[in-house]
Amino acid sequence: MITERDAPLSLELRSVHKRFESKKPSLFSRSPKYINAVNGVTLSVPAGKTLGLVGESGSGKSTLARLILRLEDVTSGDILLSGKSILEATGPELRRFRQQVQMVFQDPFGSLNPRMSVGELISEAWTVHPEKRPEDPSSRLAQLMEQVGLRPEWSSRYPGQFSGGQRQRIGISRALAVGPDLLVCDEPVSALDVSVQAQILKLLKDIQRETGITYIFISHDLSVVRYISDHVAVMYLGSVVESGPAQSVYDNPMHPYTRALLAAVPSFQDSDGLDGKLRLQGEPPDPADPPSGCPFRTRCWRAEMRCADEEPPLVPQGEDRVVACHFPGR
Amino acid sequence: MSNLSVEFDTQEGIVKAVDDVSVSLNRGEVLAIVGESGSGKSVTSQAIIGTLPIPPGQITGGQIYFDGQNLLELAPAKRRAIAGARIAMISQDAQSALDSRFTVGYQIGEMFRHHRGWSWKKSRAAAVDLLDKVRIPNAASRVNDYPHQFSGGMQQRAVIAAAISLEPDLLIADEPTTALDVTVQAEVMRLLQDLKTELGLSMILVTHDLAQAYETADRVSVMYAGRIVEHGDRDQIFGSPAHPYTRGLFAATPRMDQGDAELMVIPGTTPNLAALPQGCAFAPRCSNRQDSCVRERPQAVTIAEGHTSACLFASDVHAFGSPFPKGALDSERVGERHDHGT
Repeated sequence: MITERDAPLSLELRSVHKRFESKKPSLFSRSPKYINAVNGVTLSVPAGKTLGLVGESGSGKSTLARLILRLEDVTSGDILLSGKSILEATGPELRRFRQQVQMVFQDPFGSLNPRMSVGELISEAWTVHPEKRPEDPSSRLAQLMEQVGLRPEWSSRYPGQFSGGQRQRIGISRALAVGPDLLVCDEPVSALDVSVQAQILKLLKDIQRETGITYIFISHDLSVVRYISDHVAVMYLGSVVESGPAQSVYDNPMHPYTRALLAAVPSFQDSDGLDGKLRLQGEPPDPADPPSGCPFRTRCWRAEMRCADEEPPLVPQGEDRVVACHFPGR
Repeated sequence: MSNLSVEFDTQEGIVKAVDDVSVSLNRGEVLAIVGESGSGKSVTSQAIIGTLPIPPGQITGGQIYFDGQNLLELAPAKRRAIAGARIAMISQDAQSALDSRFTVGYQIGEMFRHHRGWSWKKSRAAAVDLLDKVRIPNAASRVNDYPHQFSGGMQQRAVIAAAISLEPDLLIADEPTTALDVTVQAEVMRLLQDLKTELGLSMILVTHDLAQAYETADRVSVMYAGRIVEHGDRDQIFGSPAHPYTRGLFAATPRMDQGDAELMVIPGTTPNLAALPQGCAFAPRCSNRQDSCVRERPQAVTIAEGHTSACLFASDVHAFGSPFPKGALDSERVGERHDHGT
């Protein structure tokens, strides 16, 4: 759990569960099969900070993002934005929530309507949220475009005339148009070239410094997450197995999965990942048929009998760190 | 391969996707070709294996020698025989490399039936051995699975199994791990490295990931806008890069050991190949740009033995030394360990 006593919390998740039905009940099996895509996640992000979510595909990080955006309904648990539950919100309250939380997508090619000009794309947000329409839309549009490094005179151009990095700038500017408090970024730079990726990452940091916006940053690239995040949560099979301040987690990973994940990243520095000790065998288990006890035990080199019997709870380990392992840090 | 040029006929006019590129690769060596999209790294590998779409593509110059034979002068049938058996390629997208209608075992076995005329039974047994070699658990039963029953990592392994089936001399791996999770990625790279040692393969690794190149390659070519802007052995490229683009790439790549230290940004985007500037293609984005860079197109100059850079100010850039803080590179530390005799 991430707690910073002084800063107000922007987002808080309280034992959030999301269960999908994987198969319709058939003639032969009476009960339907369920997949626990998100399994009791408790997390919080202080306002103006960035929470990085990492984990392999199928770990539930994107589902979690969809729950935060209310694109999916939670099965149980609660999600609070600035202290207020978003799950109950209806009518005008829901509209306000939809303005407060915005999203930046991975694919800068698929997420922009090719038939709308950049100006139309960005100001479309004000049609949806008229209360946020600025008094002088055209000067606000120019300001928004400048903020993300686009030239205002390009506002009549179409997405097809822009490169991937510039389209991602359009996507960010569009999200910022309604002045959100929270921006959920799902793999926002993974489709971009290295040199362009750095520009976008820097831009996101600058915007946060200027506006105090909060980010949820989802990425499979652990180096990128280290750069952008204040806090990191590592997910495995729907559960958070470790979370804490980014520096502390990266410098001293305590969950075996975090250690294995960090060791697997190609790097100029440590060859630990290649020396065989931290090799992760196999692949994540089928979420429809998770192992008993600790979800990671089937791939863990430290697993003992106890790991199969008891699921380790998330317990505090030092300042602001939580780890779900019976044998943390060894 | 010497002076290779490939042009594409596009709506915007003739585009030089690969411009006067020369590289050589010794037996058992790994060459990494590093670059961003549009740099020509994939087109180069397509030209070597002969899968370049012609038209719109056209090889307009140069030679590709493989074991003393110029591949570009061979008759198509002979070329295919070489490309099929002695040069193999694995690509980023394992899913499209496998045919979803046939079992994995059938597709690997087909290599033996087609190229060696083996019986179905013998081919199938060989396919099981190969799947075992690429560390697919329960190979004997998984051989009957269809590709969709394999996970992404296993599909890529199956593609590798097919690629090494005829014991090729050269393996071209075009972004082999981009679509994979980081843990699976590490396993696939480890597998490729082990196979290289075991089979004495030469390898061309096409990648955008500098750290991956560092971990795998003996020599590195950095490509930008269709040209090789810098080439050298691993320690030359990473220890003292002599092209501003190479240095820029290092500075723009987030590294875990740097924490949240500021990234240096290369301004602008990769150039439009149909409208390249007259001088150095990187000049518009270069922080060391001088007036002469805009007028004159730099030719590759030799900085040290085996180390070339296509920059007018290559020796100045080279003199900046390592782009990494001291001790950040693993090779330096290995060196230190040797110095202390441990």
